[in-house]
Amino acid sequence: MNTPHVLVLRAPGINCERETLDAFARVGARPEFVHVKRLLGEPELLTRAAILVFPGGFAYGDDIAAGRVLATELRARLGDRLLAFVDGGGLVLGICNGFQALVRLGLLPRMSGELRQEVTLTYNLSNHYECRWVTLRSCQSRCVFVPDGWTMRCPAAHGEGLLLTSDAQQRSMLAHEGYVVFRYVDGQGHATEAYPANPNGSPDGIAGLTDLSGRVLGLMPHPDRAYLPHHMPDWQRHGLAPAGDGLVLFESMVKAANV
Amino acid sequence: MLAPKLGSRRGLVLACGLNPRYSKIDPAAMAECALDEAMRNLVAAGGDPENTAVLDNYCWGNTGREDQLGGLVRASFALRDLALVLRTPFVSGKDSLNNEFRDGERTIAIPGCILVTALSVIPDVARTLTTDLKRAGNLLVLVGSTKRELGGSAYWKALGHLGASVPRVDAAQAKKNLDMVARAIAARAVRSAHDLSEGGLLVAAAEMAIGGRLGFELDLAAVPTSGMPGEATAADAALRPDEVAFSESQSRFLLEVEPDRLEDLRVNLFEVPWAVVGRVTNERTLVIQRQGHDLARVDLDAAVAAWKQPLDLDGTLTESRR
Repeated sequence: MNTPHVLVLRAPGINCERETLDAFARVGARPEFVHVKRLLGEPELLTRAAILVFPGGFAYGDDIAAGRVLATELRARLGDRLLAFVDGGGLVLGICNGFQALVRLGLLPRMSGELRQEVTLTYNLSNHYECRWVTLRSCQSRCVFVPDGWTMRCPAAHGEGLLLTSDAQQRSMLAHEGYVVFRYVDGQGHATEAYPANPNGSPDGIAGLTDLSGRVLGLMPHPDRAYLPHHMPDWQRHGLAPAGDGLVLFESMVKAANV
Repeated sequence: MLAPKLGSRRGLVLACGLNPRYSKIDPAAMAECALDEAMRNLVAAGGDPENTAVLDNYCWGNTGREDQLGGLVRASFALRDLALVLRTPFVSGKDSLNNEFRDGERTIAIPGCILVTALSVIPDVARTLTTDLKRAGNLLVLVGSTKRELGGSAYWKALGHLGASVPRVDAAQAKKNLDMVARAIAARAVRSAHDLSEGGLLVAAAEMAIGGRLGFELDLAAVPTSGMPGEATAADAALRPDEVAFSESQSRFLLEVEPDRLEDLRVNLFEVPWAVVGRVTNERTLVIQRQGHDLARVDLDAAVAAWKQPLDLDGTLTESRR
């Protein structure tokens, strides 16, 4: 059995690390917390890991902007190591605030191949924090561990989830060159920009992105809040399923990891 | 419901009770109803009434005034008396006294009220219940006795009155109702449960329909109005339909039960007044009847729209729409 070593990042303000670790433990991985200061001091930890995870929360209080301080710190002091990790076959997952940090760090979408910020995640069109269940559908993408056609319900909980590109050309590149992994869909299963099925107004319904290599995934909603059967919102109507919708993402990532 | 320990299905059921308007009539009634509401709320969600601790949060006016202090004492005794019968220890609480303000010549004091929070430890969160109706064809069962108790009710408030017949709690009967409903839920005889609180029977039924996006037919003539079934007194028999619909009598539950589980329900509801009062339908209409005649038909979508409307306590939303 594939039992990849997973590093679950901790930093001041990150607050979803326990459930994220638990989800990985349930699908046969060997997850371990690693504090950002420890990782900066011992970057060789990355060489022993197959998966690096940026959990949700409010890293460094989201000072300046969501995920900004963590992203800047990691890019300045660990940038080359992170690129080497991804280029060497390592997988990276960023959930919610982790996604925001990956975007500011430049690991997503990294269309240029360089470690610099290309797009941004900013204030929801509703202008306030949104906390609600959303439905995601995966599309055909570069991502090596998310196939086309998954439907996954999980909670979104963010104030800054609106994806903005620098121009229309860049946005079209995201869509047409396989950088978009997840989209918010409406009741009919169609990608949507309409509130509330799309909680932040992201163009083209974009909820999650991958990078050039397909080994990095960031998404705004929380599969880590939908991996147990009783996490789901309607089990009392339909009975408990064997697992929550989000578990399949962790499973698939673990299967795809290099041990 | 919370499952705080990762990897474990052991959980907590948390519930609240609060009725500040009752205090304008009698602070003792307000206090005991707050505890009763918290407990029936807790039981409806799958909590265990024999394994429950409670908290009291007092908010009071100027306790330097004799009437205010007297009300506080009456409320505290009422709370103690009911808690002893329900076997629910008060493990903590908080108070906020002297909520009185002067505006020129006018003195404004809040009505003294107590928020009761109930907390129950349960072995498996998968045994909890929600309030939304689950399936057309299921039966609606009312547990508890409906009396002419509309003082301080949402119904009188909507009509611009306060009233005087504030609900009181029959402690011994309350304990039975809580225990028996909890037993029926533990026996998996119940699909959904809702306590009857502000707005009484019809508001609870409408909330269940709104949650499940299903309709119902409800017969007000079937509602047990006093004591055990078949023991209705002459005065109770004279309850008007609107009184039955909106009375806020305590210790009552509305349950959704699958027809083939009715017998399991029956054997668990011992020494408790109860009756089948209606059934769940696919009609997307809330039908309120009395002995077969329609008293009201409410479109489910209209009920949903009304429920989703923001509160407009000071009329500003209505103003801005004009």
